[in-house]
This record gives sequence, C-alpha cells and structure tokens, in this order.
Amino acid sequence: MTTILDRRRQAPSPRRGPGVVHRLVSTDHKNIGILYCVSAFVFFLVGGSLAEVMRLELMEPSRQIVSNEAYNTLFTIHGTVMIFLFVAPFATGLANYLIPLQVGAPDMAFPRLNLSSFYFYIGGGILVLLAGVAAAGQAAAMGWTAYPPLSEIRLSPGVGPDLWILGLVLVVISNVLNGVNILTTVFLMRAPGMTMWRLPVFTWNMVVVAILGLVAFPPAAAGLTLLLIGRRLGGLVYDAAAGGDPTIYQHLFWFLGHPEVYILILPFFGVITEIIPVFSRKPLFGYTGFLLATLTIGMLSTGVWAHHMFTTGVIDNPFFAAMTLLIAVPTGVKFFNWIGSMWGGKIWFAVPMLFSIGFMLNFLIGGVTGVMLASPALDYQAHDTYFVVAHFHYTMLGGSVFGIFAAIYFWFPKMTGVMLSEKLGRVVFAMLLVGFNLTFWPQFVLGQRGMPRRYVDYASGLGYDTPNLVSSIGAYLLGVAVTVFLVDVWRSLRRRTPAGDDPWGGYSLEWATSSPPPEHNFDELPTIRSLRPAFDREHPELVP
Amino acid sequence: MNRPTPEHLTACRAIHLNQPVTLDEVTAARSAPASASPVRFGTILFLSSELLLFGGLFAAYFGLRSRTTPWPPEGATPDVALAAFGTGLLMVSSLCLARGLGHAATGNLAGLRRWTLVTMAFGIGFLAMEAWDWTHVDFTISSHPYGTMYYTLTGIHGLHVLAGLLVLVVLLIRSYQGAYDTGRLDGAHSMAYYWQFCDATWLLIFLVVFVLR
Amino acid sequence: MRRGRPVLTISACVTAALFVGACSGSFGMPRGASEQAQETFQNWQIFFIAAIPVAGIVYVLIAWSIVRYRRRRSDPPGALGSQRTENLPAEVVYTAVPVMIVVALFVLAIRTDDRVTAISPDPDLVVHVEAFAWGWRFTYPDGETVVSPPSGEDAEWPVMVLPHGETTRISLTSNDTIHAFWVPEFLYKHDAIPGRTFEFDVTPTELGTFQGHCAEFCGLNHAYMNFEVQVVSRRDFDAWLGQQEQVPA
Ligand code: HEA
Ligand code: HEA
Ligand code: CUA
Ligand SMILES: [Cu+2]
Repeated sequence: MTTILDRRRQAPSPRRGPGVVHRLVSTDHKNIGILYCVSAFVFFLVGGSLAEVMRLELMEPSRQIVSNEAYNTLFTIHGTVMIFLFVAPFATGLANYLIPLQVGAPDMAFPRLNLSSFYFYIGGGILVLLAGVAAAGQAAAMGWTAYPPLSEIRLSPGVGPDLWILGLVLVVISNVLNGVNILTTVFLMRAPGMTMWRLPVFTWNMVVVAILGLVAFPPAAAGLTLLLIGRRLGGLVYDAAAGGDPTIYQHLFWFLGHPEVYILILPFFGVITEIIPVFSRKPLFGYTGFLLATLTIGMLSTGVWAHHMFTTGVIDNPFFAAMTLLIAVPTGVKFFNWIGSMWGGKIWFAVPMLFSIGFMLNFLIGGVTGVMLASPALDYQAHDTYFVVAHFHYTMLGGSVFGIFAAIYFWFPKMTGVMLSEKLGRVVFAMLLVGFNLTFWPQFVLGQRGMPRRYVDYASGLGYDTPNLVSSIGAYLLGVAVTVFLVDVWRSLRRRTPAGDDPWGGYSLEWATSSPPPEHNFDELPTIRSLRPAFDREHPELVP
Repeated sequence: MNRPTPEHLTACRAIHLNQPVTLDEVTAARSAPASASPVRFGTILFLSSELLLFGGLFAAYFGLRSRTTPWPPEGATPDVALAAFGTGLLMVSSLCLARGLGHAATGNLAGLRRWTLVTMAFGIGFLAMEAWDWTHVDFTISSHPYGTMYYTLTGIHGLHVLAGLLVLVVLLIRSYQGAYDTGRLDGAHSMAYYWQFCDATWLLIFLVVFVLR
Repeated sequence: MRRGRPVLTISACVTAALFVGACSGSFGMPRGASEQAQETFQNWQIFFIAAIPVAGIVYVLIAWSIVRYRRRRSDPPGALGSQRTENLPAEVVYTAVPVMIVVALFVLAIRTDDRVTAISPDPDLVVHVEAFAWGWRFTYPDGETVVSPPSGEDAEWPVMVLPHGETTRISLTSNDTIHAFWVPEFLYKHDAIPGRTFEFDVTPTELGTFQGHCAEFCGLNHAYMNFEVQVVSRRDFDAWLGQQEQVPA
C-alpha cells in the first residue's frame, strides 16, 4: 500500500500554496491535517451559532423566538456538532499534521486511507446537518444522546433521526480508520532514535486517544444500528412493551460517550503540555508520571460510563462511583506536572501560554464539579440540570476549546509560515475567558436552583431569570470574541508577517524543519537524543 | 504526492523499538531489511476494533437474555444443524485460503488464485445457507427482541462475509496485476486476515446463539 | 509583569466566588425539605468543602508560579529556567494525597447513597406516580387520582399532596417514554422508565409548596411537564383526600 508511489501528481509549491482542487485530493498528511482543522472550525461556527439562538430563546422566561420542536433540534444538533464534528475532528487534524513531524516520519502510514477517513467525516457531518434541517416534524430532536424510546419511530417520526444515526455511523468509521492510521504511524514509522519514551506528549496523548477510539466507537455503532433496525425494520430490542430494554442503549451509548469525553480532552492535555514547558523555558516536569497518568486515565475511562445513569436505578452505583472518583487522581497529576513545569521557569506570556493558563483555570472547575457529580446522591439532584450543562462546558469549552485556541496560536506559524497577531490574540483571550465564565458560571446556579436542562422555556419567579440573562450576555461576548479571532486569522494571512522556522524556541521535532515544512517533512533529521531534539540542537551543552 | 519512501520505512522499522541510536547507526540502518509490515499491523488493529462491534451486539444479546425466560422465547427454534453445517463451510474455507497463501509463499501464484476461488465458493455456500435459514426459520425480526438480535447478528455477519468475498476478489485482481510477483505478500495476508476474521466471529455467534442458546 | 496581571485577577475572582458561596454554608444548594434530603445536603456540604482547599491550593500554586517565575525585563533574551525534570518526593505526595481524598469521598458518597435510597418496611402512605407525555398521574391508596391538565405553555401544574412528617412511598413508572420525577427541594430525582417500576421513600420535614419538574428529556412538551408538591398536616391531607374523586383502580 504505502510503498506504491505515484509520481504523476505535482507537489504543492510552498510559496503560493496549492490550488483548492489539489488540496481536496492531496493525501499529504499536512494537507489533510489542515482540511480537518478548517472544516472542524467551520462546524464550530455552525454549532456556536445554534447555541447563540438557544441563548436568545433562554434570555427571558416564556417562549419567544423558536418553537419547542425547533429548540429541541437546536440543542440536539448543537451537541452533536460540537462533540463529534468540532472538537474531536480538530484534534484529529492536529494529530494528522503533527504526528508524522513529531515522530520524524515523512507521512502517515496510510495516506489514502487518511484522506478517505476525512471524507467519511465530512459525509457524516453533512448528514447530521441535514438531520437538523429536515422538514418540520421530521428533524432530529432527541438530544445528542438519542435515548430510546424517545428516538424510536413512534415518538420521533421522520427521516431526521435516521440521517442523524447514519451520519454518526460515518463519523464512527472515520474515527476507527484514523485510529488505525495513528497507531501504525507511531509504532512503525518513528525516526531512528525516536524511542517510545522520547515521544512528544501530544503524540503520546493521541496514541491513547486512538486506542480509546478503537475500543469505544464500535459498540456505540452497535447501539445505533439496533436503534436504526428498531426504527425501520421493526426491531424490538429497546421496546419495553415487547420485552426489550431501553437501558441497553444507554449502556452502549455511554460506553462510547464517556471515553469520548476523554477523547475530547486528552489531545488538549497534550497540547498545553507541549506549550507550557516551551514558554517557561524549562523541560516538562515529570514526563514519566505524565505518561503513566495518561495511560491510567485511558484505562479508567472505559469503566465509568454508567455515571451518566445513576438516576436510572439499574446500575451498580458503588463500582461506577469509585472508578469515576479515581480518575480525579491521574488528572490531578497532570495539573501538578504543569505547575511543576512553570515552577522556577522564566515564563513568557505569549498568546499560546495565556490560553494554556486559561485552560487550567477553567478545567479545574469543570473537574471538581465532575467529582461532585460522581457522588450518586449528589447526582440524583444534579442530573439533567444546568449544573451538568455547566460542568461539561467548563471541561469542553473552558478546557478543550481553550486548548484548541492555544494550539492554533502555537502551530499556526508552523503550518502557514506566518504569525498571528499577539495584540489581537490577547484581546481574543481576554474576551473568551470573561465571556466563558460569564456564560457558564450562572448555569451552576441555575442547576442548583432547580432548572432542568433541555427546557425551551422556564417559569419566571423561580430564580432562573437573572442567571439566564447573564448567561446569554456572556454567550454574545463569546460570539464577538470568536469573530475577532476570525478577523485576526484573515488579517494575518493577508499581511504575512514571516514566522521563521522556530518562532517560539520549540522543543519537538516539528520545530527543526522549515515553516511550512517541505513536502517530505525533513531535509535532514537532527539526531534524537532526548525529549527535545530541536532544543538540543540549540543547546548541545544541556543534552542529558 | 507525499508517501513514505521504502528506504525511510526501512530506516524507521529497522531500529529496535526502544533503542537510542547515533547518526552512523542510522546510516547503517538504512540498508537493514524491513521487519513489521504496516499493512498487517494496521489490519490487525482494525479487525480487533471491529470485533468490538460484535462485542456490543453480544452485550445487548446477553442483556436481553438475562431478563427473558424462556430464552429463546416460545416457538422460536433456531436451526442448529443448519448453522453447524454453515460453520463447517466457513472452517473449510479458512483452511483453503491458508493453503492458497502457502502456495503463494513458494511463489506459486496460480495455486494462490485456485485456492482463493475455492475459498470463495465455500463463502458463497455459507451465504446460501444464511439465505435458506432466514427464509425458513420460524420467527421474524419483529417477533420478539430475540428475533431482532438473531437477525441482526446473523445479518451483520452476513454483510461481513459479503465484504470478505469482495476483498478476495480484490486479492485475485491484485495477483493478476502481478502485485505479489515480488514475493511481498503483506497485502494478500492482510486480506486473508479479514476472511479469517469473518470465520472467527461466526464461531462466536454459533457458540452464543446456537450452542449456549 | 504587565502580562501577569489579568490572569492573576481572574483566578483571584474565581476563588473569591467560591468563597462567597462558602460563607452562606449551603453553597447554593437548597437545604432540603425531607429527611432523605438532609443526608444528601450534608454530602453536598462535605464535597464542596473538600473542593475549596483542593481548588484553592491549585489556584494559588498556579498564581504563584505565574507571578514569581514570569520573565522579567532584566532577563537576558534567551534566558532559560531551571532545567530540573523531576522531584520524586513531590510526585509521590501529589499522587498519594488525592488518592486519600477520593477514597474518603467514596466512602461518604456510598454511605449517603444507601441512606437516601433506603426503603422503609411500612410506609405511612403509598402514592403511585405515573409519568406520561406530557403530564403526571398521582394515584392514592383508595384510587383517588390527580391528573395533569393537557400540558402546554400556560397549563397550570397538577398538585401532589403529601402529609407532613410521614414517610411516603413513591412507586414510579412511565407508560410511554423515559421521564424523571424531580422535586428540587427533596434533592432527589429518579427516572421513570417504561417496563419498570421504581420505589423510593420521601419524608417531608417542611410544610409548604414545592415545584416539581420532569427532568429527563421526553420530547415536545418536556419543558411544560411540571407539577407541584404540597406538604400539609395530616388533618388537611385527609380533608383534601376526601374531596378527590375516586377512579376505580
Ligand atoms: C472534556 C469532557 C469532559 C471531561 C474531561 C469530564 C471530566 C469528568 N466528568 Fe464529566 N461530563 C462531560 C464531559 C466531561 N467530563 C459531558 C459532556 C457530560 C454530560 C453528557 C450529557 O449528559 O449530555 C458529563 C457528565 C458527567 C457526569 C454525569 C452527570 C449527569 O448527567 O448526571 C459525571 C458524573 O460522575 C461526570 C463526572 C466527571 C468527572 C469525575 C470527571 C473527571 O475526569 C474530572 C477530573 C479532574 C479534576 C478532579 C480536577 C483536577 C484534579 C486535581 C486538582 C486533583 C485533586 C482533586 C481531587 C482529589 C478531587 N461528568
Ligand atoms: C465542545 C462542546 C461544546 C461547546 C464548545 C459548546 C459551546 C456552547 N454551548 Fe453547548 N452543549 C454541548 C457542547 C458544547 N457546547 C453539548 C454536548 C450539549 C448538550 C446537548 C444536549 O442536551 O443534547 C450542549 C448544550 C448547551 C446548552 C443547553 C441546552 C439545553 O439543555 O436546553 C446551552 C445553553 O446555554 C449551550 C450553550 C453553549 C454556548 C453559548 C456555547 C458557546 O461557547 C458557543 C461559542 C461559539 C460561537 C458563538 C461561535 C461563533 C459564531 C459566530 C462568530 C457567528 C458567525 C457564524 C457564522 C459565520 C456561521 N450548550
Ligand atoms: Cu417528561 Cu421530560
Ligand atoms: Cu462521563
């Protein structure tokens, strides 16, 4: 496979950049990586716009702008898009771009497979969006979790849910193929000297993510298949009346659903763990401990899924509570790795570093509230309230998305050869940090005051009014922040302030080649004698 | 287009997984022979992941089984003998394919093609068995959850066999194209893995659905 | 140093916010209007109080390293920080201590769970609650029944009346899709799943009227599937029960 070379196609010329058509068919991992990141970000804009509409509806009590049905579709598509079509694929994009560079390989192991998994993703994305715009009464409106019986044909007629299911199946295929590609690349294509214990932390985290994907996605596909069979072929597996059991779906869904949330965060643990040492001008503190923590999180996260089902009363609470609480420990280890890496450093607050710090500040709150949800009794109260909504936005938006911005500001110069603006970057960071906390802190309060999630409307006078208003204002600040960011990208691409090969004094191999890297990635590989080959080249005296 | 050159793959693989090296070791490495094959490695990863698709279905199956008595429900009598016959067909097909690869290893590609065709014949035989079973078994997909699981498991497996047949067709085509003339059989082997996978999963289904009941 | 500030202030604000909650003692959670809820509320206080130092310490460490170890004007351009890569004792501590914390939290969490879900052998009253899209049917022992009016934006909420200080067994079921019975003041909710019946006890400790919601997403009118719980004295309860018409069960 990989050894069949076809030399007929022309290589992209680094200066002017290749034509659109070429970009869409080129199997160069750097190209595919950028395709992933750009499409994922577009999905972010779409999902975010949907969120803005929800916030408009929720700004004041009583229904104003959308019908119940439309609102249900809004959060269904918002959730699906953000999780399966934005954050995870963005991480895949980074992985595609960075892993071959970081392990010193000329490309991913299976370039054509790589391109095909990208198109599986796009196909799935299109189906999900179609599911959202299907004719009135037909659109998918069963939540991103799509529990039966609600998602069965009886209660969700129309093609929307079917499109949604098929879309997700395509996304599953895309993820599995991509996982295979990543693992093969990392295990078989590392450059000489790049031992497993010298792999950059981002790559390591993607290895665990890939394994989690291979383990968790297929069972979910099974659950979705049974759902589709139930909808269209008269299947009865989830039909209680016929002796079926709807909670089987919940088990299969969350067996993916929970590992998925670590699939969403681990890549960005990796990202900020690359960034923090570079900007503290220190080596990473406790590399080995960090790897063990990552592996532990990977293992534990396949055994906690039913903490989403405490209120169903059909599961073994102590087991799942224990596993869930334990995950706090390895995650904590990472926090202390980050602190240790800043400790005694000479911290340079460039924009990527700012976003990494923001990540820590926000994610910590998401984390400790998660620990509260891990107590079954507390979850009886908090489940399906805005407390949970706040929890997971603190982890996914305050965490993953801040990580995404950190990654963009950090690697954009490598990918394009031009810098983003430091000034605008700081503005975006400040607005995102403030806007984010303004949006989601009040949602903890809402949850405690008893506002359930997935409510198109709420009675006034129950203490929900003010927090919702504040939350909506914050959401618009977020919208502005994202718009400013788009302006920054656009301006920078036009001004083309050259970045040079290594604007940050980076550590891992990608900083040892040109920006953007040549077609085959490396003209010559530096010898790899430690975690920081690029750094070693500048500071031979410090090589361990 | 940017694909790893054989030399580079060699260099990457030749280094033992966890050995630090120096520059001259690298240059030495570039002439070392390839060890692990990405195609085989990737295929094995893919199949072990796909195994979990059936894992999920089995989980659902046992979930239902644990809360339904009797199991299978009244009036549902799966045809064990027929399934056993189908199992036999698949087992034999696997052996034939192994035989074919044996020939290929000795450079006898004609043998490879012959035995691949025999394998496919048995595979088609299996699908015929499935078709017969589906049309004659005394319950439908919507009789009861058991029926749904029965048709889902056998159906999804049937689709895999179908895919397997296509894969074998590809194998034939590639061999006619002379892809294996060089003696590099990794592609052929990975495709064979897929067929053996279909066989293995059927064994599981036979065990769970027909033997254990 | 100009760069250090905003981050610092933010983290300060967040920690501050945490402590503001701390002062009130309930940390924003309703104190609970039933015996079972008292248990949950205590568990909540413990978890929250545990979270304050944990988050506090981490925030302080972050803030400290940001301020203390920022790059200063005086530093030469390529200045490096200390090149230390590990510190075994520290690593052991920051692994072991969280382990101890979560083990303790686990024990407390499970004890609370057991108490909250404990079922009394002889409840004073059994109410059958049936959730349906989109409303509630509360059936009392002799068949007295309260049913939701057709739900919708401004339909008024059906009322479930409970005797004060007595243990009511609620047996919960659903006849169409999954709903969830939730009274925030009771700090408890449970899913109503078709094909299953769940039982739990509630012993109201406060007279008054409390809001109740359907918490599990159940489609079109999920947001309007609310109800009200009125906790009244035994006498008022019997009087009220008398007025309800009976639906032969
Ligand atoms: C990026 C995504 C992400 C991440 C990383 C997490 C992380 C965690 N989550 Fe979260 N979670 C979600 C995304 C995420 N979650 C989503 C999307 C949902 C809802 C889905 C839906 O219903 O729609 C959800 C829901 C959810 C629930 C179910 C709530 C409900 O629906 O009733 C629970 C319950 O246990 C939970 C727990 C946890 C825990 C314990 C962690 C832990 O991993 C957190 C660990 C981190 C820390 C604890 C902080 C750092 C640690 C230290 C500083 C060490 C010291 C700390 C202690 C000793 C406490 N989450
Ligand atoms: C990574 C995951 C992720 C991210 C980043 C977000 C981001 C946001 N989310 Fe979402 N959210 C989820 C995952 C995520 N969400 C999930 C899984 C659910 C559960 C769904 C369910 O219950 O089924 C959910 C549910 C959810 C709810 C609860 C709905 C309900 O239960 O009734 C709310 C309500 O406020 C909300 C709000 C927001 C807001 C305001 C943002 C903001 O941060 C968005 C900010 C981004 C933008 C504002 C985009 C920028 C747009 C522009 C600049 C306009 C220009 C646009 C174009 C050019 C096209 N989200
Ligand atoms: Cu009933 Cu939500
Ligand atoms: Cu989870």
